[in-house]
Amino acid sequence: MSSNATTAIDTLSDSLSSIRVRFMSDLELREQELRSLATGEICDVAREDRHHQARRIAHRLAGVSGTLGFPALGNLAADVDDAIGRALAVPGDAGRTAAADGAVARLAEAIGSVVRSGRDIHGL
Amino acid sequence: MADLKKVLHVDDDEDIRVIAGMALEAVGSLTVCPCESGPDALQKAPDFQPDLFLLDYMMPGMDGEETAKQLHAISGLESVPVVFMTARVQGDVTRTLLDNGAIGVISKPFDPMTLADQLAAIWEKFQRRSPGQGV
Repeated sequence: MSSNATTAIDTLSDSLSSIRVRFMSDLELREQELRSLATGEICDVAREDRHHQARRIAHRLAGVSGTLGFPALGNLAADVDDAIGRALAVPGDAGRTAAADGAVARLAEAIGSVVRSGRDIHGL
Repeated sequence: MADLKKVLHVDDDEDIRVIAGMALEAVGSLTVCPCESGPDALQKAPDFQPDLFLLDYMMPGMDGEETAKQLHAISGLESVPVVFMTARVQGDVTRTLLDNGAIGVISKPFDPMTLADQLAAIWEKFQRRSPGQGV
């Protein structure tokens, strides 16, 4: 490998490290948001809004987590994105709603684990 | 074979834009025009004159396919090839995107260290298939 290529990869590694630090800091906020979004309410409109908000967070995590070295968290986030999508596709379906709420709660728990350990999740 | 030099990258996630931009510029020595949305891309593309569009498939508002369609409607950009980036949950659309004219699909999450090589491989394959196209 040429010295230019080595320098480019070192520069990229340094930049990724700083983005990873910011990502970890943001994760704490995402955990709090998801915990507040994981609880149900009676009104269908409020439930859909809550699911849309949670899905935005999950979709973003699914896209970026793996790239920053947290592939298992990214996979879980993609599962949650998918579960919420199924719930939104059939409004009022109690089973799908419960599955989506459970998935959101699991993602919040997983994020908490990553925040506390600094490492990707395993077996959650 | 035409060289790949300029990439117009569209993704609504800022971290992905920054990481992909750094990866393509630092490792691939490419010039990247980052865009946060389809409409942003439509504004920037005519002046930037990219060799290739790198588009997130799922974006709020104007999605990747619609962005590609509208970019190709701009005079002078009709034949610029498209590579999509898709998340794992959209894996089933890969075949459709390729059948509809995309020259490649890159899965998310991507490895920043190899993204430029992935894109170069797609470009070279495209150039071998259609010499002189897309520039």
